[in-house]
Amino acid sequence: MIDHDKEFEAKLAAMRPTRPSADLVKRIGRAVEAGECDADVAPPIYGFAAWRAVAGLAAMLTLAAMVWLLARPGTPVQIDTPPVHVIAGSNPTTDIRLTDPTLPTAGNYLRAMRESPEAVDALLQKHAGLLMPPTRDLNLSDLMKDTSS
Amino acid sequence: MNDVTCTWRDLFERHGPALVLFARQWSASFADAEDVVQEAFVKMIRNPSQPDDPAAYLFTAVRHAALDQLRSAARRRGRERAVMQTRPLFESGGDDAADHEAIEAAMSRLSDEQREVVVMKVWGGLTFEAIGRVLDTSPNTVASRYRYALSAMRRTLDPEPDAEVMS
Repeated sequence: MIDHDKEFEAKLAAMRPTRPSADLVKRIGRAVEAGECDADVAPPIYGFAAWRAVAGLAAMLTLAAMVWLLARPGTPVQIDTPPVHVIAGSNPTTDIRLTDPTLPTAGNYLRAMRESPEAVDALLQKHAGLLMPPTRDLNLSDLMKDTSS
Repeated sequence: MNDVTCTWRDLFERHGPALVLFARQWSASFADAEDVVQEAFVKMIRNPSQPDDPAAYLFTAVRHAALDQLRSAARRRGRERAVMQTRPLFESGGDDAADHEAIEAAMSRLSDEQREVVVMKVWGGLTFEAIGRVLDTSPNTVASRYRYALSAMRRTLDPEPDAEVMS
């Protein structure tokens, strides 16, 4: 830097900026020492990681609240009964309920298995005669005839 | 508590006047400038991470707060009315009072960019590197602005030497 610039710089540096009022020091001091600062100094939340942690915590709290609401004593637990499936027939009067014990349903067979092997046999016999249409015996010549016609 | 809180009084003692002077470039009044400086100190104390260069941090915070304040339309209107009513920028210089007034006038003719560099360098004691961080610009640019500012002020105060140089 040129000498006269340095001289001028020294002249400027010798000047003292107007001092702030004493009230300013007090105001900052109050903010710091009266605890206002400490209360506000609570570490701010920075960055994505912190927000993710907050979101995770919120999700956990929500889940915990739901579990508590469902499991607390005295809360009637509602169990939805399965709907009754209805097979619609051509005529409404012929609608058949799957709970009919005479039908070959999985429920009826399970029930029979729990009862006894004989009950299962009886059910099989009953349904074989009831529902399965008689079928002819298959042989190769019949099949060949069918495909040629 | 943050260590900064233990030293803010020292920082205030050392840099308070320069920070207020710095803020007054944009503030409508001395009181507004003090508000800005208060905000900067409180912000620094609340900052959980201690700044490496507290002085540069404070100048940066003052600059941002003062510019925010300036953006307020009401403040801007007030500034135009109040700028002439504020206290002098410098302590009374006694016999040098006339010089001080002339220097204030020369400073007022600088561009904002030049003036803020002069204040931070001369009265804030910041290095060109630190000023560069405050202004988010290179130290070379800062040094260049500083030299141009000093030349401009010298020309305003005493145009004759330059005339001699030119002749």
